[in-house]
Amino acid sequence: MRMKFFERTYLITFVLFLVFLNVAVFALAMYTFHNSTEAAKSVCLTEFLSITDAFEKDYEYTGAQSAGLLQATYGKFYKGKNISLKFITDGNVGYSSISESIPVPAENTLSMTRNDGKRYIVISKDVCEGAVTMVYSKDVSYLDKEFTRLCIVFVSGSLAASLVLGAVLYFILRKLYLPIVKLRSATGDIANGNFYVRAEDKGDDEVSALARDFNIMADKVSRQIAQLKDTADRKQNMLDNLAHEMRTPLTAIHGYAEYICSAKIPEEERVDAAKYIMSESMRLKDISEILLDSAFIRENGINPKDISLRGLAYRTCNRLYKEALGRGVLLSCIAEDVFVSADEPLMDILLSNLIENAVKACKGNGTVTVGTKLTENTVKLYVKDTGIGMTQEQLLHITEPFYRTDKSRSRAQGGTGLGLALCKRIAEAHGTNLEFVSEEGKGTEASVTFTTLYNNLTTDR
Amino acid sequence: MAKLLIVDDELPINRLVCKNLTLVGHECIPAYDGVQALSLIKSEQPDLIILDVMLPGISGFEIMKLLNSVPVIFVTAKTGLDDRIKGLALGADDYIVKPFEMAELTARVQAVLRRTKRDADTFSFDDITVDFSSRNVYKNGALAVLTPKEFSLLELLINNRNLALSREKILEKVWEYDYCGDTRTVDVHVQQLRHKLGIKDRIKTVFKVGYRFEI
Repeated sequence: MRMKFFERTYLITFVLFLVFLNVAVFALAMYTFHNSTEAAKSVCLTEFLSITDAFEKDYEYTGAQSAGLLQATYGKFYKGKNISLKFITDGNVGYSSISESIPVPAENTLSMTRNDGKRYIVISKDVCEGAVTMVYSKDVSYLDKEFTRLCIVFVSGSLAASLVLGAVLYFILRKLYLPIVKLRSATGDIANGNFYVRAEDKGDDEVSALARDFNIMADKVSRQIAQLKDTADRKQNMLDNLAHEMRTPLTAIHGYAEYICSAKIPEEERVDAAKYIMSESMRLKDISEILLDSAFIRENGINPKDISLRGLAYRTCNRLYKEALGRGVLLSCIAEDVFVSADEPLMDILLSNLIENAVKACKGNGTVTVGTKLTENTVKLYVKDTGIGMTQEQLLHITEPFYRTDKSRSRAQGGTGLGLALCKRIAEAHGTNLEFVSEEGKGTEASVTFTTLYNNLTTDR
Repeated sequence: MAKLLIVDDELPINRLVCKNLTLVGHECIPAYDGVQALSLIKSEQPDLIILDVMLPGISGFEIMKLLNSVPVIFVTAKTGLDDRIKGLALGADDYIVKPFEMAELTARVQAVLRRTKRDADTFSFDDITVDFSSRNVYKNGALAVLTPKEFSLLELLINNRNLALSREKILEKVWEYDYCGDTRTVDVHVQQLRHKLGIKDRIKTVFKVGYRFEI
């Protein structure tokens, strides 16, 4: 997996390196060549000066008469040492072992010339008080050979270094880029909808920091998605349940009406069918009323007034007492005269629903107690029964719309499955929570806790 | 004629379906939850199961997975396409959404039974024998000549016997949905059928409703 960024970095680094390396190698080669040339020049100069010194002494001794012999002697002697000499007297060339094609430089100067593919160092000097000009020439072609050798060494060296660097750079950059590549593949996965992938975030450089931040972001996103999905699922579930709860009575109503209309049946069965129609219509009515109440609270909020919990509890209990007794349940009320801020009609609905559930839980035998429990500045309104109780699992779900602990029985008793969901909403609208404590086989206590405004037990008003 | 297991946890609906399907000549066994349904499937060997999806305990889909070879018609209050596909993918023979009309249910029950050969191909009453597979009617052993529409009408009436069908319903079922004809067409065909087969006492006119084949 290669990326453009990687290629770019690699190329730029590599080209820069090549440029610097080759400039350096070239400079080094030139410097070395220059040094060896200078060295050769100074060797030649020293050599030439010692020759001129010796010549001047001999000249003085022999005199101008035998100058020609002296010149030949010197020229031949040094020729054996690979040095060519030339003597010029008053413009006339005396002895010369230097090729005519090599130009004579100006007096007292040193020059380097090429001739016949060879390199020479040529020096000229006036000796014997200006009587003779002596020219010196030495073949220094070895300098060229040395330079060629140097170039070969340097070029092959720099080539080898470039290759090694190219390879090393590639691997180092690859390694440096690996976290970025991995991060990219992780982001790609997330972009494709796999929200459970995480990038590697070991280390403490910027890329690791980026990976860490990225992981934190991915965590948040996946958590939010899970939450959204959960909410959507719950809404869909609620909608499915609502459809089911509405369609079931509708099916029965339509079916029985059709049955009365079309089947040849005795009067008795006709009445039965009509009764089903009536009871199923009531169920639809109950569901729609609860949904309306629920919507009303959501739209309009509550209308709180100072009410006495004692008054509320007694009124509700009185209304439900007979019905409970008819179902074998003794309903008692021991509420104290405590005032709280609440919406009385809604509280009546809440309390009625809780009592209704408590009576059902008793299964035809038991007691239900409605009461208050005071602390310093709060009051708990509770409904306690001696019924069948609930499991922890059931407790978790009871306030969900259409949840039933015992589906078939609850329906047979005319429950909508929405009662506790409404109670929860009412409690929440009052800024409090609906709480349940239950033990299987022993009973359940449902309660809401309010802040006490004042009570008639300790203060007078 | 066929033995049906009705699985629905709603007592009123379960009883309603049982009553109707008993009237049209089937034997119905009610079951009110998944566990009961599974044990009844084993002991009673029903020809067809009418299965509610939302059941306490074991859901209809789960029961479906445990079944083999018994035809199933799903009944559900869920309208979602997903559920419909899921039901059919699990091998259900048909799918019906609440609220439904009885004639719809009887038609589907009859169709599934006939398709899976769980029901008799012929139906006899008085001196008449109706052969559904060859679409022939015999009176006293002799072939009675009926038009295709007359035969379809007779078939519909027999499948919904003891239940009155409105003229509109008959039009919809026999003449298909898009027929824009007069309900008088139905009257004419019913007269023809009564006349050709001599069954005036069997096909009753129900005041303000329609026609009912009684047996």
